[in-house]
Amino acid sequence: MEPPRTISVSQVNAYLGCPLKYRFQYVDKIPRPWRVAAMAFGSSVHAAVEWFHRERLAGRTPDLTEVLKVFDADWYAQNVEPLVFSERESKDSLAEKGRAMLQLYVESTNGVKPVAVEQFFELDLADPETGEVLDVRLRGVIDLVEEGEMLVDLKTAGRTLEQGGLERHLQLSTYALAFFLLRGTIPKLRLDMLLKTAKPRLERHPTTRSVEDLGWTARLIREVSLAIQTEHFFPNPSWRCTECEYFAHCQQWRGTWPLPSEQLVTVSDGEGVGESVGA
Amino acid sequence: MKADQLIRTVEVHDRNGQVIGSKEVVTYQGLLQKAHKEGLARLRTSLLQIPTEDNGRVAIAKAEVETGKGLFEAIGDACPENVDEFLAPHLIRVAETRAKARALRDAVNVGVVSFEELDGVRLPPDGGSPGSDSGRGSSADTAQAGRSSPAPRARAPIRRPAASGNGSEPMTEAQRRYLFRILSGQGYQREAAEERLKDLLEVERLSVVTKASATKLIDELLNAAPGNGTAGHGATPHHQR
Repeated sequence: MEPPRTISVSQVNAYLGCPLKYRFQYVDKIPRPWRVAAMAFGSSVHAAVEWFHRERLAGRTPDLTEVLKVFDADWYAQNVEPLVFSERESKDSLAEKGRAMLQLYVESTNGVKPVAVEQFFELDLADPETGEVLDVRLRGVIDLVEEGEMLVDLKTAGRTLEQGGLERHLQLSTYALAFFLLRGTIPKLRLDMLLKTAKPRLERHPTTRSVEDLGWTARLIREVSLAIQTEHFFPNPSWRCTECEYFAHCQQWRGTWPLPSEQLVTVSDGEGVGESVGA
Repeated sequence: MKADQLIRTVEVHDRNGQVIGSKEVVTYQGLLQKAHKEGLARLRTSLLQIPTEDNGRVAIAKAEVETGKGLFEAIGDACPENVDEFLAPHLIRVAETRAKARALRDAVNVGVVSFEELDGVRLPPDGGSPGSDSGRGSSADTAQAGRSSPAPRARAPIRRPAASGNGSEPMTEAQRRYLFRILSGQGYQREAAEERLKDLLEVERLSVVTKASATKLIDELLNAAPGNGTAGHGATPHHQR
């Protein structure tokens, strides 16, 4: 397997969530058998918020109706192929919820002007404490950059942050790390959480990071990259397993390859029992 | 090449590398110079789609060129199937350069396609580098590409669609969502948008739409959007995450 020359923030998060799922998704590239509605819903809300800020960035004042149209279009498109809903949710109930959440978001928008929306970055990872180049390229996308060097990540969620969740939020840490490596200063950070509660809530959680925090983050990313290169893929059993798209594949895992027979072809060339390649 | 040379003739090769013809192209460098002469006030780019495995590694960038004549917008795309192999790790910058080249062409009123927008064309052996110093990309492209593949550019193998990535794969989820959002901006919602898409793509079901035809339609819809190209301002398309 080719070692990844570049790793994204999403990949780091995916690996830390479950190394075996990472393998199914990014190495074996097994198509997802189905999609979780909650994830698709979050993407649709995100698409509408992104459009809203792009309009603001362009100097326009988008009204709520237009924002909701973007959401409706995206949510409709998401449902062209079936999604898997939880018992309490449906296409229509989430559509209604999404509109309410976006109304709240638009009406709660502060007057701070966006400086960039979906800001892409890619850089050579270095340890900000020692200056050591870590031989990994890191890439990602910052949801929103506001005036005053404020980097914002937007999340939709069913419940508020768990204790310590803000300090450990890897995406924000990585944003700050990238900003520090590119600009030489530590930015302000904020996690905006749109909560899918009965009555939608918007929580804004400001935070920051120290250089030590950023060094810790850089080393974590380096270690994840190394673990991927050395093919350390194993399951991480948790409550998430019940909604994992690769649950069936995971059940076939025996600690050695090959993995799911319907997706992988066993190589019988005598160069290694059970070695397999993607079909 | 002279810095102000606008039009160049390039060789067109077949998949075996044989010269099968020639084509006149406009060069990025020439476009840029002409734009400056015509009062280039601003050249701004934004990334509309990041290349990921989910979207077939298609990078889409948008460029805005403002001259004394107004604001001109264009998009450019790049994926492993439409760039030289050695540029495959640099899709974002290639897409950006292509977008800039297209916007600049509109701005300076040049109808000839630019070298940066094409694949499968090469300079004659003594042709030097067309367009910008970097060939099809910005100077950063060349620097990056040089590190990953030191082979001389003119000798690089012609990149042709691989069997597994020739655009015949199904339209990605990201493409589908983007198309619906674009159509929403044009007044088509939900079922009406779906029907409109089927009409435009000439299919019975969206599940049979290929990635290549979706890419083509996105390009057409964005370029046909009111305000694109020649107008003073353009409606921001509903961007893809």
